[in-house]
Amino acid sequence: MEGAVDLLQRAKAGDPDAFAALVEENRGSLLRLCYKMTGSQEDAEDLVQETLLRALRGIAGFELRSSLATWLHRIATNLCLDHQRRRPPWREERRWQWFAEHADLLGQVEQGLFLSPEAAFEIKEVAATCLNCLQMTLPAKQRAALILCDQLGFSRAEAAQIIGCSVPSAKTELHRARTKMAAIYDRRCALVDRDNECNACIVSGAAQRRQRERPAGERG
Amino acid sequence: MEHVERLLSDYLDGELSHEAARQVAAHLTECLACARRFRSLRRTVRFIQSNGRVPIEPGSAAGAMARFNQALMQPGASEADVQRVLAEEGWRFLPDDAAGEAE
Repeated sequence: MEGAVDLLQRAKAGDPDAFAALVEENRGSLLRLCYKMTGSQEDAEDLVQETLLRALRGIAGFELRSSLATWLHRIATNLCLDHQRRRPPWREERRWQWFAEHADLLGQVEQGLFLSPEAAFEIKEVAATCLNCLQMTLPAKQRAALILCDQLGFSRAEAAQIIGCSVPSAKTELHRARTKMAAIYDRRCALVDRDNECNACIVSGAAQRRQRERPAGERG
Repeated sequence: MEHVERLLSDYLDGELSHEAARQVAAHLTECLACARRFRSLRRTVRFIQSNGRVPIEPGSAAGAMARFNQALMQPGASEADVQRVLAEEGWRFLPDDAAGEAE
């Protein structure tokens, strides 16, 4: 297996296979970043493609001063921040309002969605989806800090490099993001307070348990 | 201690100096409001860190839920978008009268 340094040399010389091998292990993380930043699978795929195109064009000038992962995620984050600049954050209120207006529907949708044979929902998937959607209500830079540090495992220093700001600035964005998310969960999530209105995870968990407890012949 | 609230993330992640951390810890034993904020922050961060890495398959029910949320929460999205997602995701398990009501 070729060393990273050799691959880099070949990639800088214009070898597309060496470039592909070099970026391969970052592809999943880049896709997760772009999906979590935009809330759209299509946009995420486009942005990752654009990221790799720009990286290919820029690889000649890349030195191992920063890590390859940081460099790639910086390109992607800049593209996502640009993408989001023209799009305001999602609005929370509409979601709660809709479900309040369609309260009966909500109960049926949750039962059906979580009980249907195709669903195979785990609570973790519900919680993960919920997180992705709720963090779309954050300003883009706060969202980026939250994703990079708490979901993709970058350090604060790396996140600052990726976002293109100072470390204290990155720490502030991270703390603001976490605080806003805490306020939403405290107000809305029934896992936090049983009286809160959103109990999607609880319904899902109960439905999964009932599915498992059914005799094998009866399950969807 | 001034501005403890702003230090709570750093404190949670072990990023404060030994002395600053000691002062924050002491403050949290005395100030109910900050202690509550810290518990809320810690719970939220743990939740985000454990659920933030779960992959979402685009074709899965979770992906459908995400598109539904997007139709609800994205600025500029209308009721028509919500109905379109409901129709496209084939939420066929809705009883007929509820599906009629949704339309």
